[in-house]
Amino acid sequence: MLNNKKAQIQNKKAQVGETVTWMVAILIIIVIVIISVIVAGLGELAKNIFNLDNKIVVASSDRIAEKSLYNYLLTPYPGGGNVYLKIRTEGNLEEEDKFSGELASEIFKGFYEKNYPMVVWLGTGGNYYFGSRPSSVRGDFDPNIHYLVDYVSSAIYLDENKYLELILMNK
Amino acid sequence: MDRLLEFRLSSFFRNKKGAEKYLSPWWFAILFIVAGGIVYMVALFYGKPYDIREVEANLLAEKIADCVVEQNYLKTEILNDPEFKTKFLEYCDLNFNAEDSYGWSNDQYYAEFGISDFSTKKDFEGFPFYAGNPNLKDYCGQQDKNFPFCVEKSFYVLDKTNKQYIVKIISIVRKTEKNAKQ
Repeated sequence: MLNNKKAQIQNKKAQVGETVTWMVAILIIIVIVIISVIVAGLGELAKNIFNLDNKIVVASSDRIAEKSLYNYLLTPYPGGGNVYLKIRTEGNLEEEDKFSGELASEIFKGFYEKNYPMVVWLGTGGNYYFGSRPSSVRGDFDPNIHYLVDYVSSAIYLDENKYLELILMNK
Repeated sequence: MDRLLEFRLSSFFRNKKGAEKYLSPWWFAILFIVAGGIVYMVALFYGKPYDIREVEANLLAEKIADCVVEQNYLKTEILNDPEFKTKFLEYCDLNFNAEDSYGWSNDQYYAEFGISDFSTKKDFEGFPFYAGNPNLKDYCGQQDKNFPFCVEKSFYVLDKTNKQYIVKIISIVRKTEKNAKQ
């Protein structure tokens, strides 16, 4: 009889131990949950750690700027044809082609420099009116550098090897 | 002596039964703490609304631009048709009704449409005109996210006779309560 009761006492001790274990466990869980909540609350920090907000040269389109581009190319060229045909046959916006160059400057620099202060560029390559083609865009993108810019690029193909490109870049 | 021991043992025994009885509430407590913590963390991380006013204002401007241009040429009737101005929203298939929340009364949008001659830069008669809540325009140029978001776009366009125009569109979206919640 006494032996049975001793055995029961030992079982109870085991229960006490188990409960204490759970009490400690719940405290540890609470601490872990609090730490997790604090980390989640520092959302900006977490986003920076995982680089979630950094745009890595996000290409997009500006359909309103594209309308200007299409209409620029459709503009009649003095002496016949239009700007598209002129650029297609004679090449880039060079100094001697004042009509195409000045019209392009007036339209694209005039309308889009406010919305795209970083770069407004048009051409088939480096040219007199818009300078050299901006680097770090399509074709020469360095994956090791995170560019915090947004850029718009529209290309009009002139022939197999040549296209007229409008590049607008914003910070 | 035996009786005393027996009493003490039976008392201890009852306490142990109690401990066993209260073990399952610990389980429930852990369940609720963990679940509540996860819900709170998700709400904390993703609870901030996405501010889509810039996208919405750009889409509004693009929609208006598409409305006045057909096959890359300006619809010249917009200069002469009085209905274009008086029924602008219907003409361009726009709806400025806002959600029935935050006490909004369909005053969350503004659109302004202007057209001028490319050479002289002078606005045509009757332009620009607007639709929506004109008070929102006062906030343009302010950088605070709690102010309405403004988009100002211009583009160069020809009509079918190759006459050159400048179209200027201002679109503004307020909806601050829904997009810029602290």
